[in-house]
Amino acid sequence: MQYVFPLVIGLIFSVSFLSALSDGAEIIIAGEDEVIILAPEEEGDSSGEEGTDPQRIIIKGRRESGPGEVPEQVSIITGEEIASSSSKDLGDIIESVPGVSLTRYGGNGSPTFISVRGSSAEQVLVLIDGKRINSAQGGGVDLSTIDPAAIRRIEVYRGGSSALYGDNALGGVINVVLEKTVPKVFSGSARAGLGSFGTYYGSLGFMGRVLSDSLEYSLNFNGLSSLGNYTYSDEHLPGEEERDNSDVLRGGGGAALIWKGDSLEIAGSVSLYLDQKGAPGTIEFPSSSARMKDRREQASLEAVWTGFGDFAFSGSWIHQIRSYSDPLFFLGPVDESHDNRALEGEIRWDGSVSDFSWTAGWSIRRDLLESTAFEGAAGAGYQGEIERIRQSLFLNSRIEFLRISLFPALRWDGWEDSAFQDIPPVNGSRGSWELGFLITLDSDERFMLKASGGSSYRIPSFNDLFWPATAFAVGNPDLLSEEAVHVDGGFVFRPLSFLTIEGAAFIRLVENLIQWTPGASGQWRPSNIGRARFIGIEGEINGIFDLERISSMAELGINGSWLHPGNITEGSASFGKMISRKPLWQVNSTAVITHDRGHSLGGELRWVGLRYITAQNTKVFDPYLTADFTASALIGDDFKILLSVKNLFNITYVDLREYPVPGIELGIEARYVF
Amino acid sequence: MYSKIFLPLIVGGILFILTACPDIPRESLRTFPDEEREIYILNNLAETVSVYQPGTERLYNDVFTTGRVPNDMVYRNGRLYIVTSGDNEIEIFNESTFEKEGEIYLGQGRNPWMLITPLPGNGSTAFIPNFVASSVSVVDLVRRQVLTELTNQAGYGFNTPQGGCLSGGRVFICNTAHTAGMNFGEGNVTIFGTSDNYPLLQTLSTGTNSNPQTALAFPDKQEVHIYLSGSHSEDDGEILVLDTSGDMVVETARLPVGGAPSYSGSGYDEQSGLVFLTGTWGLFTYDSNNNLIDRGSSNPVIGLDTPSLELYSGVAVDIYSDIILLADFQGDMIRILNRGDYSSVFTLEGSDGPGTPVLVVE
Repeated sequence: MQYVFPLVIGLIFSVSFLSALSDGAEIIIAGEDEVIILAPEEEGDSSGEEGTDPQRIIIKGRRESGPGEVPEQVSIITGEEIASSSSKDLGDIIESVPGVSLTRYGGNGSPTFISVRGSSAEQVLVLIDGKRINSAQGGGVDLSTIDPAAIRRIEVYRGGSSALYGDNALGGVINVVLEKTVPKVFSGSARAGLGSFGTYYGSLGFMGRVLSDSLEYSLNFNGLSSLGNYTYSDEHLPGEEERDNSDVLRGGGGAALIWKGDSLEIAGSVSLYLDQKGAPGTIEFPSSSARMKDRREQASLEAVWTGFGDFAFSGSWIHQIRSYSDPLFFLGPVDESHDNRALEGEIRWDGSVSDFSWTAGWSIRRDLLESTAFEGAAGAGYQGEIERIRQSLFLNSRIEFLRISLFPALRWDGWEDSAFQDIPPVNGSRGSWELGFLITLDSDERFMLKASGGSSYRIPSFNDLFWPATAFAVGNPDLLSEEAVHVDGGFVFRPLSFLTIEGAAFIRLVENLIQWTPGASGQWRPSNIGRARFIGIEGEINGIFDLERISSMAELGINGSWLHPGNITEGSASFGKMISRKPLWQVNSTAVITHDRGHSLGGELRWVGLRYITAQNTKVFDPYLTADFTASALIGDDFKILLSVKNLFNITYVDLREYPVPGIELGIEARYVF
Repeated sequence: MYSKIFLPLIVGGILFILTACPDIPRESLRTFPDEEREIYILNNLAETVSVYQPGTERLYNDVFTTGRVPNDMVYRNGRLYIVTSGDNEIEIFNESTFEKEGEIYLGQGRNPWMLITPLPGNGSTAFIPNFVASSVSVVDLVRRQVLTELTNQAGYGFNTPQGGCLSGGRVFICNTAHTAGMNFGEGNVTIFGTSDNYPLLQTLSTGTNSNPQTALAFPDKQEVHIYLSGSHSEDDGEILVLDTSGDMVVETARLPVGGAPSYSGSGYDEQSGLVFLTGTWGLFTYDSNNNLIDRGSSNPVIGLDTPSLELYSGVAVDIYSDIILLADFQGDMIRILNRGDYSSVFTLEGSDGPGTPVLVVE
């Protein structure tokens, strides 16, 4: 608790100081939505085309987003916020969102997994432009493999929403929206930086319009190289130890084309991501030889015909390969590879009549996994293909009357897993529902109440079901889907034009919780033994001030969350205990001052509270406080220099036992916009 | 009126007490009376120790915490020595106060499994098989330091060793020959001397898929019994009887006990000579006086329904209280049985993943 006090005091001091500076100046910023319009890349867009209001229509056919637009709790990270940070991956960007916590395995490029409202990583659905990244193999999405280059905005939905998104959307949904808005005939940006731990990175992007503005194109590349090695201290080891085998080399790129006709729009995109990195192991069991490789290829095509509403036909393909090798593994060489391919098609109809709007559709998806695991050492492994085919029917709508909006949604998913070795095919189906309310209490939309309730689920992953029998783990083909019901309620309050206050409370009950536990002979195995009840409160205050005296704008924010992740599995020794590795408290505060000439100074404090280590709650990770700072100077109209300090206090902490996170990290970056 | 005066005084007084008083040093972490006979239970998943007192029939869960992944516990001269496989060390706790007195760090990547100690009065040198490193650390428990580490560079031929025992100036190390899959290689027992340079004396094969995990010495009989746990949860366990009377150790019998047995805790009934073994097939026992199986997998003392999912992880026999304490790893239970007829006396809720129980008699 010793960190809460300075956080609060810091915020109060900042507010007081900036209020004094503002000297009663006219407040010209009216909330979060308008801030986005100030983003440089959007200033020139006065065409009124799609994308001028980034708070609306993000995932076509899904609900409009933004805290005041949907009944779910959602946080929006804008392109400007991303651009003003020194983040090198998606995890860096979203970790300060209330209700979100990350598990990092180390420094730059290390696997990073997300938890939303106490969920597992597999209970969070990650989308890029509305397309599912979670593979059927499971394991969650590694956020370190998503580069911030070309991200226009990120939407973080907290809470279950399988009625909208289907499988995996049990704890939350992250939608990464890539840049598509083309403000000029030709424009581009370049970024290059270097920093601690031998890190170099850069990105380059172009976009433009041709053929009388009917064809838009964009192209981007990014890359990062880091030696990665860093020092850490541990109670057992004398002095500081070097964390070896932490290097990473990654790169990627993407291209998109959008053709716009009078009543038909066709959009296509392709992207590629590659990395290779060391897997340094744990402190007590380090590895100098283990390596990982990732590869992700994506392609999508969508056609939207505007007639009676919008009819959309889309197809997408994603191919993800993760490889792991360790020639010096103590039980013999390991060389395993997991090749996931998914093909998805969707037909969707978005329509509206008066105050009633809807989205209805059908989708089909085929996931295919081909793996080898421990093949060299023991001859055991998947050694074959596993296929999952699923179909979905969905209908969600918005009904408005007076100042009340109702958001009913229904979805049906059916799936079939192919036979695998001696395990017969398995069929399953699941219906999901959601009902949300959004009530605006005044005509100026200063005070809104929102609530939603619904069901959500997660189908057991291939890892859960079919993990090959080894000395360490074995899958369980008899697993049932995790099921959850949730209720949450909240408000959005704008008492002053420059101040936004949001609050939410939720409860989520999870049945058939899949838990991997060590069993007989120390072999880990998943089973549906778990029931859990997650209760939480989240709050957020954001303010924007015009500091007329120093010709600057200041944006201040603080958010916090409290979580009670209770294990209610009757008959277990952990009944009534807290689920491990979930922070019970989190507080984030940010302050950014932006001068009219484009210079800026920003800081962020992040306090992560107590986390239990063991299921029996006999051990805890201590709370920690980190501080990051960023300063940028605009030179001319197009060139920017950015300096960053990450983990200023050089705190040694872990998100996961035995995986130390690096200390202070310095960086310098140059950006050029043309 | 009075509340306006007294309230600030009370609040101020409480604040003063909270902030100004020095910490009162605690002499002991023990919060319950010490008993003459206590059974300490190592909780592998909770990473704690629980205490059962046969005299009061009370179980105190999680009385103190251990290091990461505790795997074995030994009582000796008023101290509990706990092998923490995740921390690569031996932790030393005062048995009366539960205070941690020290540790012996073995080094990164070792993965110590069990602690092999000499009988009281036979020195303080102990041996620790290191599973991942395939080595044996030699430590001095009194000086609390590592004396040396026996590795395969010196030709010992260790292969994922887990347990062992000391007998007649010789150390017996059980090499499981683990693989990453569900099979085991050719297991064996490495035998070396306890003299200064720990000379390799002999290597005895136990067979492919035999999986020798633990051992128990019978000095009076000049025998060592090796418990072969067999393939993962298969019903193929055996007890290998070794004659240690001569210069060369020889195999004299294999007792087909079945299941997947191992010896953990204080499972030797010194009065009857019965040895109790636990594993994924239940609780077994055999008579060490004549090396005859009493209750094997075909008629276990208590069986388990699903050997691949359940595990009895340790047993302690208290002849004074006439009970057998059985640790149910998966069920998080402590079962108390009547020593005479094995009937259930009662069952207590244990902590998470109870394992090795150790009887301490003061």
